[in-house]
Amino acid sequence: MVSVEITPYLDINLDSEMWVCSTCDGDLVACDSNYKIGCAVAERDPSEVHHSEIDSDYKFAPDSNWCKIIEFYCPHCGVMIENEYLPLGHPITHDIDIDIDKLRKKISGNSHNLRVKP
Amino acid sequence: MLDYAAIQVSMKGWMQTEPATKKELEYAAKIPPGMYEVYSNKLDVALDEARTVFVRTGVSSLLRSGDLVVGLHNAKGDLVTASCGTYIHAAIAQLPVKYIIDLHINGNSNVKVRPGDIFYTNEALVGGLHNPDQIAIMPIFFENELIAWSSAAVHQPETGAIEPGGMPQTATSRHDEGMRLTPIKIAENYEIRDDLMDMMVNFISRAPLMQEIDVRARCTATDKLRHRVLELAQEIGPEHLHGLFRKMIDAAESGARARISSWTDGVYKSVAFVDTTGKDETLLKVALSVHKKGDSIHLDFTGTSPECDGSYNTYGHGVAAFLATYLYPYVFYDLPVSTGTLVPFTFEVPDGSLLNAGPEKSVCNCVYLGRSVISLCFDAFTRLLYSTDPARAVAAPSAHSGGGSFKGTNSIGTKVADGFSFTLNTDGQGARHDKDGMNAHGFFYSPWGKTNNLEDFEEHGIFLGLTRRHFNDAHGFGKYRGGVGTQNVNVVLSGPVEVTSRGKGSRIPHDNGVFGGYASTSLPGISIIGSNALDLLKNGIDFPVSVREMVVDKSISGDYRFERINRSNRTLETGDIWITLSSGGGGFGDSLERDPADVLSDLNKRLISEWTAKNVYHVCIRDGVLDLNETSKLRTAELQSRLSRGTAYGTFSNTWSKQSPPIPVSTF
Repeated sequence: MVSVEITPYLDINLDSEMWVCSTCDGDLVACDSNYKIGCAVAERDPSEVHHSEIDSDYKFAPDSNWCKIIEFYCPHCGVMIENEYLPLGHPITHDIDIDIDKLRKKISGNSHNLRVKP
Repeated sequence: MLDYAAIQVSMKGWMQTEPATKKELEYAAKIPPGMYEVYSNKLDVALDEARTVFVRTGVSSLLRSGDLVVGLHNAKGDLVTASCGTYIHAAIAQLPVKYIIDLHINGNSNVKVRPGDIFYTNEALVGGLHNPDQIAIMPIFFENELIAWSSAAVHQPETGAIEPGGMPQTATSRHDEGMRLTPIKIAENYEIRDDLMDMMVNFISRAPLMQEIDVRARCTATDKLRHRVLELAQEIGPEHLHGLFRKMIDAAESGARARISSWTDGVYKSVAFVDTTGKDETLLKVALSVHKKGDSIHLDFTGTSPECDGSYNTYGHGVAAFLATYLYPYVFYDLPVSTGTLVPFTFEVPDGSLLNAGPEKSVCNCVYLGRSVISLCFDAFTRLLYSTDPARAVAAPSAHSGGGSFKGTNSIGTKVADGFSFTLNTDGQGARHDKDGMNAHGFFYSPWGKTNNLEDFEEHGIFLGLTRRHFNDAHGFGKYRGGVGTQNVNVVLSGPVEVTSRGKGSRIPHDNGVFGGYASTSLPGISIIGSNALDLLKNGIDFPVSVREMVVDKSISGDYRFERINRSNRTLETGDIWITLSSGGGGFGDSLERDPADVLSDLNKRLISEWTAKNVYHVCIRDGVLDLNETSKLRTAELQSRLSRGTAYGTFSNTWSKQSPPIPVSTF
C-alpha cells in the first residue's frame, strides 16, 4: 500500500485510489472526486468562532446574514480537514484535483520529493 | 491618437519577454567564467544603492516606508533585475518601458529618446496598477547606443482626485481619479523641465511640495542607477553587459521552470468574495483555478464577477502583479526579480471582468481587489505546494486592513496630504505549516517596507497618536494561528482635517485560513466624533486605548460610529478620534490541535480573549493555570459535537443550496 501525503489531514492511497484521513486512516471518498464529498459537513454561524463585543450592524465578526462557515470533518474521527467562508447557498469549492496518473508516474521515478507512507 | 483598446491588447504581449536576438545569445555565450556571478551581484548592489538613495531623497509616507522599486531593464524593456520594496512592479515594470519603445523608438512619434531624457507616467493602462503609482523611466546610453533602461516607482499618496489620498472610495470612472499621465518626457539633457513639473504640482495642489520632492526622488534614483550601469559598461564592455542581461533573464526563467517541475500536477482552486465596490456594498466574486502541468502554470480567473461601477476593478496586467506579490517572497524568494521568472505563467482573465476592466472604469482601489487575488494565490498555491514542499505552505496574510488618507495643513502652514500607513505596514502574516504567522510582520504588498515612525506621523501637528499596538482576536485561529494585526487610534489635534479610509471585508472575510485554519475576522470602521479625549489627557485622566476595551468601556464620551471599514471622505474636527485596524493572517490546521500552552501564552500576551480560548481552542484555564485533563475532555467533547452536527455532503448540499445572501453574487 502506498499513501501520499497531500495535506496535513489528507493522504491519497494509490492502491485503493481513495482519499484517506491521515489522522485516523479512515477512508473518505474516491481520490478522483472532491474529498469534501467524503466529509461530514456542518454550517456554522461566524459568531461561534469570531467574538464581537459590539452590538451594531458592523461588528468584529463576519455578518451571518451574508456568510457562514462551512466546516468539513473526517466522519470517523472528527478532525477538521478544511473550512470555507461562503455566501449563503454558494457552491462548495473543489479545491484539490490531483492528476493521479502523473502522481503514480512521479512515485515510480528514481527520485521524487513526495512524502510517502509505506 | 491614443487608442485604449490597442494599448490593452499590447499589454498582454508585453507581459512576456522579448525574443532573444542572435547577438544577445552570442554575447551570453561569451561571458567568461565568474563574470556572471560577480557582475550580476554588482548590478544588484547598484540597484540596492539606487533604492536607498530613493528612500532618502523622498518624503511621502509610503516612499519613506520603502514601499517602492528600482528596476534595471535591457534595451528592449524586459526587467533584468530589481531592488524591492514592493514586488507589484516586478511583474509589470517593463510595460511602460515597452510602451515608450513602441511609440517613440519604433513608432512614428515626433518625440525621440535621447541621452539625458527621463520619462514619467502614472497612467495605469500602460503600466503600474493605478494612478497613485508614479514611475520615472530613464534610457541608458553608452557611446550613443541605447544599452538599458532604469525605472523607479512608488505609490504617491495624492493624485488630485475627487477625494484626498488618490484612491477615492466614491470614484466611478477614470475621470474621478485625478492626474493620469501617459509617459511624458519630464527631463531632457539631464534636467527636469520646470513647465512639466509645474503642471504636475498644479494637478496635485493638495500636496504640492510632496509631489515635487518625490518626482525628483524618482528621477534621482533612475539617474543613480544609470551612473552605475555606465561604470560597469566601461569596465567590461557593452557586449558583455548585453550578454549578462540575457543570461540573467534566462536564468530566472529556467530557475522558475525547475521549481515548478518539482510540484504535483493537478488543478487547485479557491474563491474569494468582495463586499464593496468602494462606493456601495455589494457581493462580488473572484475565482482562481491554478492548472499546474509539467514546468508551467496556467491561472484561470473564469467565474470572476463582471467589472463593477465603483473603483474596485483592475486592468488585465494587474493579476500578474498580484501573483508576483505572492510568488517572490514565498516561493521564488531565491530567484531573480525579473520578467523571466514569470514566463512559465499564462493567464486567462475574462474581458470585462473585475480583473480585466475596460479603460473607462475606475481602478484606483484595485490594490484592495488585488488583495483578494493574492489571498487566492496563497490558498491555491499552498494546496499545490504542501505535498512536495510543506515549508512553503502558508495561509493568506491579512487582507482587510483599513489604511487611509488625510488632508490638512501642518504646523508650519504647509498643505499636507498623506496616508495612515501604520496599519498597512503592520499586517499579520498567515500561519505557516510549523509555526504561527509573524505578528505585525509588515505590508504584504511590500515585504521589505517598514512602518513609519509615530513621530514622523505626529510631526505634521494634525494628529496625536493614542495607540499603536497588536489587535487581539482578529487573526485567524488554528493549530498555528495567523500573525496578529494592529490597531491605530488617533485623535485630531488641529482640525479641520479631511480623512478617508479604505479596505473591505466588513461583511465577509476573504483572507482565508488553510487546512482547517480559520480566516481572520471582519472589521468595522470606527470613529468617535466629538470625543473628550484631549480634555481627559489635559487633566491627566486615564482611559483605555485598546479599541475593544474603548468601545465597550466608553469612558471617552462622544458619538461612537460603526461603519464599513472603507469610509468615504469626511471632515474631522479637533478632538474627533479616527481608528484604523488590520485583522491578522489566516490560521493553519485544526484549532483543536493547538498546543494548550500556546493558547495560554496568547492569552497572557492579550492576543486572544478568554472567550476564544474557551470557545475556539477548547482549552481550560483556571486562574491563569492550564488544566490539561479538563482540556483533553473538552476537546474530546468537541470532536464528538462535530460528528453530531456534521451531516453527509449530499444532505448538507440539499439544504445549503436553497439559501441565499441578502445581495446576490454578481455573475456574468
